[in-house]
Amino acid sequence: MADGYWARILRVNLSTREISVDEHDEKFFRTYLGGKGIVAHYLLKEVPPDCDPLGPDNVLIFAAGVLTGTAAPGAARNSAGAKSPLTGGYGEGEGGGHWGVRLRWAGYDGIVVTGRSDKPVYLWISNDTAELRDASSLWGLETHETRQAIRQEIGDEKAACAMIGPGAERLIRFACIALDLHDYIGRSGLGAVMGAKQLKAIAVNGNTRPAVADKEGVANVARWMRDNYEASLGTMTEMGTARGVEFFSAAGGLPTRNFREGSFEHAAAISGRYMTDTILVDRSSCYACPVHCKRVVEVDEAGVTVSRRYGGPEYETIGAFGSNCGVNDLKAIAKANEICDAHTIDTIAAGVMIAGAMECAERGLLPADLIQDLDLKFGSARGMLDLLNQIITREGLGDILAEGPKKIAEKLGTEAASCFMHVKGQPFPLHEPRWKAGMGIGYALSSTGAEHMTNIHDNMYASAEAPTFAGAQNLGILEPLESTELSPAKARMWTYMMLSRSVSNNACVCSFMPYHLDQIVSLVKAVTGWNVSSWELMKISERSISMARAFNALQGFTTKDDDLPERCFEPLQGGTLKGQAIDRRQFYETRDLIYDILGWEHQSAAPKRWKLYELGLDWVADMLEKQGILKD
Amino acid sequence: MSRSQKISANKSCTQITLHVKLSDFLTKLTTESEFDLRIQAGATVAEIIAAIVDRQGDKFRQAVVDRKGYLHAGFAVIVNKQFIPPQQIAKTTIHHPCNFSIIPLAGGG
Repeated sequence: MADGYWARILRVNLSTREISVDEHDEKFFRTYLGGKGIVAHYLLKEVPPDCDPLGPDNVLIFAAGVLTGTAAPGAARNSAGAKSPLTGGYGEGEGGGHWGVRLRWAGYDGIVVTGRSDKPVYLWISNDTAELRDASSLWGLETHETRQAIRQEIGDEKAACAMIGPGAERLIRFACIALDLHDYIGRSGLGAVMGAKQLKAIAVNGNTRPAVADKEGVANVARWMRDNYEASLGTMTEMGTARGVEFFSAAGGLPTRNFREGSFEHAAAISGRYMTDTILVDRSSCYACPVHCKRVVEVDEAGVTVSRRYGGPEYETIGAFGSNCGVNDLKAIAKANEICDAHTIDTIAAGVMIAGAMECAERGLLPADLIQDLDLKFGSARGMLDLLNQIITREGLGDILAEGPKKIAEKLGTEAASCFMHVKGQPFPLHEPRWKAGMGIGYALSSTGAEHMTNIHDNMYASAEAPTFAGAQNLGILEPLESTELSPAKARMWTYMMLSRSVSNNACVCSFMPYHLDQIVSLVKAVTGWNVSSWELMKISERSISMARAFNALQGFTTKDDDLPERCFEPLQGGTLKGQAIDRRQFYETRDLIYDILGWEHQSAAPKRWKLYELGLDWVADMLEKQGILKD
Repeated sequence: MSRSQKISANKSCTQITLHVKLSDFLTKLTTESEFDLRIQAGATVAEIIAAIVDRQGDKFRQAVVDRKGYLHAGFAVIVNKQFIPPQQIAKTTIHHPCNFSIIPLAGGG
């Protein structure tokens, strides 16, 4: 057995019910490392360009990294990917918790799911054995019921479950995958892919830890994290990611009333501090993480109850259902979070779709028969929850929203469609591009559509004294830049930092951990025994990103898909940054310079031949050439 | 020895001058992104933040501190390139002229 990986990826064909193992050599794992790299490899190799994302030809991949399941702090994550039913392009997301850890302890680095079952099934993996079981009785169950029933049936109370709820079964295009009850692979609509395949869950457990080359090397980094995370992360443990709510509002960057304003007058009422003082009852964490950033809330009063079983809302959820819908009722936001978690719906997408509908209602763009008795005024917690329930059950207006932003125009018209903030069909995360301009560039350029985890949060690199700026200096970025700046210097900063941050999705490390890239290098060295360098990890990251772009090019995506909605070029209507807009010329010049830095072609937006050769992806160049995409 | 102990000593009547720097959107809430501030030697970091907020006015105050005067989560205080953890802000005292920065830091996610 090699150090750091099993060299085994489980393959499950749901159409034939055949289960086998793909064996890969060391070169494969050193080339892709894990997570996103493995996802991109399989998507390119196995998903045909004309594939229906909800059809049997789509391939669903789960992939852990070489660090997953070791004692490395913050390395409990895994990726999942498929052709996205939301965008029609590269779909991928990451999640934490314990599921990926259990998968690795069972002796697998990933799972590739092909075909479609003719009836609901779940996959049960226990160490070396894997079997498909009937899930007919589980279909329609919420996530906590599903996990309980599966654990009871298999007789293992510690088995981890990747699963879907009724929202994903109804093929809501922004359905997500639950990893047990506190963690979700939220983006890209991957839950709908699982629903279309009639795969209700993947339960897994095992008891063999992956081999580690240098345990003391891992322990050294773990000790550093134990001693330093508190000072570096400040209030993350106390308030979680919701600590950013008041701060973002003060900055003018808290999306408010559908990204029209940047400061919310009720930010304090939906803040991390307010949650801590009121409905917070506990905190939880992923495997081997000292931070405990996850919230556990509970509400039990007349008119609203929220169970603690699903944890509690994160910053993105609070922004989506709170300020962006004008809602100042934290308990209602926690309820929306619970509904989404039970039904496996991406909270970001759901909140942003509801805010878009609220603006449509305000501007008279919705037919009366769709509104009926919905209260769609910004600020209506009742209206927000009612419309969310319509989405979950696919009724009325909710059924239209459940199809995602790309389908709005044909149902409600182009003016209504302009109210839904998205890139490539993926709704915006809750970060205002008119404050974080590099984030806006990242929204446009990300292969998954608008994405906030690997793109830069400009304010973290706006002061030379910011502790986070040390991560930029480490890459040779020596001058801080204003958050709102778009320039050649920002193009350079964005590219370097994006490649560096994306390493997390190959190593499957949480990007909240205050690691510098050199420490991730140390961990990979210690676990695998490979003499890797930060250069090598950055190239692995770039390789994965280039493969994702190649996948999109094969699906017909071009430069025109790397753009922002018109609203980002219009002035913010309120808040600290009132009047701030993205300069259109600066945006396109910065974006196009990044194309050049990364070796992407200006029309197809695909990596150029020389870039693919440079990354050792000759086979991808051949694929693009056969489709007539490579021009030089 | 902890960072706070290193910086701390007893309060005195001596006045010292800090060089204060604000960055990112904070500069839009004030007319001065850098300025000198006279404080009593031995003042806590929390007291210095209060003095900065008093100097800059209500708009700045609303952006930086809550109703109880606590610094909003997400800001970092840096004294002579040393990060002051939030839980040390009320305890850490300043005795010598220094560079004092309030930086918007949190990324979110």
